[in-house]
Amino acid sequence: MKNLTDLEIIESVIRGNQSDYAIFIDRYKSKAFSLVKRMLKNEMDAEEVLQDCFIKAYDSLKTFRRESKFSTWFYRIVYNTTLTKLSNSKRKIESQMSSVDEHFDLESDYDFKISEKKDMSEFIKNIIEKLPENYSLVLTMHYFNDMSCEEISETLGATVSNVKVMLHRSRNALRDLVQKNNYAEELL
Amino acid sequence: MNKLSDEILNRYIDSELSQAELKIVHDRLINSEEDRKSLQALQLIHNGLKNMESESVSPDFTPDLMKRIMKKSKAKKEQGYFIFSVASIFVIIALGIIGYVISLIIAAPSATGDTVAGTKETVTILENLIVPIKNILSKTNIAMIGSIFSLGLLISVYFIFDLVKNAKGNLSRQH
Repeated sequence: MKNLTDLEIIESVIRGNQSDYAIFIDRYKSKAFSLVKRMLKNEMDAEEVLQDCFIKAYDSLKTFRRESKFSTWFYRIVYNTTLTKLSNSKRKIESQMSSVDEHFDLESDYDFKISEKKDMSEFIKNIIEKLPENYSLVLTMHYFNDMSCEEISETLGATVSNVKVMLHRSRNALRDLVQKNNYAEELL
Repeated sequence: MNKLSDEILNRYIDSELSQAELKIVHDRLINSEEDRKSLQALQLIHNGLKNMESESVSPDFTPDLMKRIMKKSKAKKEQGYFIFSVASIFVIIALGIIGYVISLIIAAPSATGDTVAGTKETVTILENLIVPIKNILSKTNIAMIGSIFSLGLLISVYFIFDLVKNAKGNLSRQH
């Protein structure tokens, strides 16, 4: 059963096999949780919002038109539901999405600690937190949610070129930080 | 020689370069240590990001969520049944009234085939129907009907309030 494609799961749920929706939940809960947590910065709220996202997706299954991948459609629900939760910050993030002129300086924001140098994932996780919201979202979607730049652009409502610019800039910023602190040799 | 641009290095990592661009990059990487180090650091970040594990939700996330979904769809079904039953009652009553009127009209004698006489008979039948309704809605009966409706309304409001209270209680217990 677990080898079913997303579309096969939806069709089965629409036919009345509600319990099959659990396969879909198990498949996407961790990835979607990373995205929601990154946006809300609060674990408890993130679980609650994620439950609402899955319920919204369940209620709207019949409206899925198959014009995009089901995962993209679902992540769009996740993104919009979380944005609604963050209604105060919504305008800010949306305005950031339409423009990538913003510059950021990770070095002044990030304080290197010797203990963190031993753990690459911990180091990257901490640095992603320091990135501007739109950049950290693009990184999360690309690496945690395995989304292509086209899918990210569809989800966020940004152009593909803007998404690429944000992705490149985020990686460059992380690389510059690693290089300037001679971190690369230690990790290799 | 200029160093390789960040854009080219990023596109190299994403495998977006053409064969010609790839050749240029490979040549540069052989000859420039700076470019090599830059690409190495970028690759390190790329691999680090790729190998990062997703965050995990609480172990009861899926069963709790499925319970919520099942409960919600059950309530939706019950609501559907309730609306269907009420609508059916109204439709049956309406059909009964229409059927009764039609049967009266059909049963009325119109042997002459005179349309004026036929119309008069129909008016008489309708008047006969309206008179009992008028009597039911007379001054003395209207107060009683109003009281019964108000009582029904109060009982319905009590049940709706109780239903909402239970739903809220269930939701808060789930969180």
